[in-house]
Amino acid sequence: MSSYKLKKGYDLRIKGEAEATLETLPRPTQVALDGREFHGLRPKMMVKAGDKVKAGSPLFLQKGTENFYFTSPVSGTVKEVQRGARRVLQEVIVEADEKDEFEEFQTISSGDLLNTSREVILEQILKSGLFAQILARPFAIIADPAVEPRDIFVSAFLTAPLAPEINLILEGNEAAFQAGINALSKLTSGSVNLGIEGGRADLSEALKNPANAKVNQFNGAHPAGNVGIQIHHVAPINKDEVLWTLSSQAVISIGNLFLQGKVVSEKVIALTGESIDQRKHVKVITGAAIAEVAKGRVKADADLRYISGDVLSGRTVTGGFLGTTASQVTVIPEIEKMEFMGWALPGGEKESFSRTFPSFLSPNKKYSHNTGYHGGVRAFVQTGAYESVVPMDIYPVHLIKCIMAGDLEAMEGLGILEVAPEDFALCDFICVSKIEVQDLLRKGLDFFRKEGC
Amino acid sequence: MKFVEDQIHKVRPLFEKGGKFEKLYYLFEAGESFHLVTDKRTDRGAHVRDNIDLKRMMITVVLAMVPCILFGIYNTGFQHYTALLNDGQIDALPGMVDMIVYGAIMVVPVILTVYITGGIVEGIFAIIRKHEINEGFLVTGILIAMVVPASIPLWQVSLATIFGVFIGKECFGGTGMNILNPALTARAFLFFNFPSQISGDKVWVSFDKAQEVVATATPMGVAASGEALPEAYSTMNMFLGLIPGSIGETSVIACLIGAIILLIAGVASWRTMIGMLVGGFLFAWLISLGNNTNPNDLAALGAVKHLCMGGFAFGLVFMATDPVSSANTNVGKWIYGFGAGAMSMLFRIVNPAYPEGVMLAILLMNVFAPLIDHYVVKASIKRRLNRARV
Repeated sequence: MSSYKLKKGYDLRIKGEAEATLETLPRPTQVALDGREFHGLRPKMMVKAGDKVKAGSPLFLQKGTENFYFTSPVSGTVKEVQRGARRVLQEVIVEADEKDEFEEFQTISSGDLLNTSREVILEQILKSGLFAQILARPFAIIADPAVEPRDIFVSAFLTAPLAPEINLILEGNEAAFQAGINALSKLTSGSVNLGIEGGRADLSEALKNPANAKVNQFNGAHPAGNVGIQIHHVAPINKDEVLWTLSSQAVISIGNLFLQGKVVSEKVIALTGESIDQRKHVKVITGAAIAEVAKGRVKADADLRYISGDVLSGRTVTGGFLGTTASQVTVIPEIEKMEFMGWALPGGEKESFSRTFPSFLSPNKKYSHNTGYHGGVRAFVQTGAYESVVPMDIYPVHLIKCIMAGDLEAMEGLGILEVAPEDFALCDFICVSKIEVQDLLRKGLDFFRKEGC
Repeated sequence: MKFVEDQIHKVRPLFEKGGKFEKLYYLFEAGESFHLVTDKRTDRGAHVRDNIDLKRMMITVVLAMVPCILFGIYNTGFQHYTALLNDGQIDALPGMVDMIVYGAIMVVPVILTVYITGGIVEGIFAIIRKHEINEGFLVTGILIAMVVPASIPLWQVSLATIFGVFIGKECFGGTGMNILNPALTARAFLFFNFPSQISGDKVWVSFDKAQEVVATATPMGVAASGEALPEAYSTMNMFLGLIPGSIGETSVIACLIGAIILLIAGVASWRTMIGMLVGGFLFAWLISLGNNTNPNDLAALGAVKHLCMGGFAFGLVFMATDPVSSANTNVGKWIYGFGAGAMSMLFRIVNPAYPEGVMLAILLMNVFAPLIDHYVVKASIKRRLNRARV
């Protein structure tokens, strides 16, 4: 086991952590698959409104592939296929049945997976829809099944604000997790790398001593739990290489697919954020309607933002559906009013990375946050702060400036192939000029993918 | 508070698109955002944002400069009355209040002149460029006021401010894009255009027009002439700042308080500061090693005296650390700081015409900063390429 200590980074001191208890939520009446969640998706629809589907039945496929399906998490009837501007696929909504009927897949035991061919395993993962949960680096887009990855990286701990407890996710799923690792190990000629949190004695055994995976320990503040940061330190990605990354929940889903021969869409998420009452870890169906998940837990008359994921890089899903890949839901208040002389007053109740507020004197206190910018958008002033929250051998400011200038060669030289927007999410948070760093980085990645390869 | 808020909301439509004063929107915005922090919601990227903004950052720097400003006001009065006393025009030094009152009468108009002139230039550019007024001028303004002698004619301050903001900043595209520190650019403008009002021995102590001007050289001026430093210019007095000099830069102790505030707040780079301190100390010490023939020579003064003299401390804390015009990379900051410190001493000691080099050294390093960064970043790119070949 290798160990890494990261000095840079920052843990947000935001209120709203979920208790370490697990509750099972009632079955949702509606679930949806949101096309916008999958970056790099070129969908071809396979169903229309009114069609009956089972859990694991394809809803659409990735154009240019034969069997890379995106499947329904539950059995029921397709209610609606929503498209947005330029016919971009938004939500495919499925009205859930009382009880699930499953598409049947081949059952393979954990041990047998190691003797099964790569083609068989890949084919089953593709058809089940679980391949959609695998992201490819560079670019952090949905993976191309035709390209074999150099290695596969799984981050088995989350450092994002209010992140869920990994042991609760693993509890009862240890066998499935190991089966998932076994399956993944057949997909690459390299290794399956598992990143775990260092210094934790109580960590699940399934994480500490898995077979067929290399384990790397990381100590440090956010974003140490981001898979991109872990890759950078363990085995950085070079030009013309491809890596696959996935979450520990996705590994469990893949394990269950082979052990049970069906797509199990139930997963553990943390209900977090100051605006939610009874913050717990809950078992819920992937893609459930957010209104049903948060029912009775929030103030009805408040203006709230529902986020699928964490407050730094999650997606706004107010009125919508939970994401497939997210393992937490965060609900925070929207900003409501302008603040009188807020920039000049001491501001005792305000968190800041910068120590220009007295909150730096109480490092353990938690603070409220809303969705305000807390200041005007200004010219890019390089305060040197970006460098202290990106634990990589990369110059974030220079990279962002090259993206602004559209300089492909410099972008590559400065390491654009190694990063994903989430890795720079803290830059978004701390920026005094209120530059949209993640947005710029995503545009840079898209530009590079189109023009630079 | 509510009243101000209501009034601002009431006049807002006049400045918005289609309103009577549409063209002046950004002036209105400046006023509005000064009083009320925006309620704009995040729609991309992180959903929550740090409470710091450019205003907060800049006001922190101004706050760090408060000891320098206050001490500068006091010292202006102190130097004025000390000179009168030495000249026999008065019999005893007056009380502290008198000194502060005199100092305020001389210093406050300089500060106001800078802010008013600079504010107008910034406002004009904001309207032409259609962007919000950037708060960087909060700092630039007070910096300009602190690095001029109290006796300087206000019209010169005004011209220098216009030059500093225009050539030092707006020409390059405004805040964040400038290569040179605008405040130092303003000071360099004064130095090259009105040398008789910013150098020599007749400018550092301010006098009423009616009185005869008494020549009082700064410690640097005395040392440059090869004479021994008088008792009034002891290292302790230089450390405290009770010496003639530019308004805000005489006191090392005030600069130190500022440095502590800036470092705690994390606004200025400690790498730049330490780099410059080491560079300055090392060079002053090295030069003094080879010059022990005349103990009064500038070269032989030794490192400690040099660090306490002139604008070194002020330049180190407030000028070199300007995040925009200094180097951006961490390695680059060390090199940049070290260079600024070393150059300060070289210019100061070797240049026979003008016994102060901090301003020119920092400006020179400003010019080199992008080059330093370029090579630091290039090394990172090379590392990445080497790795790919392995």
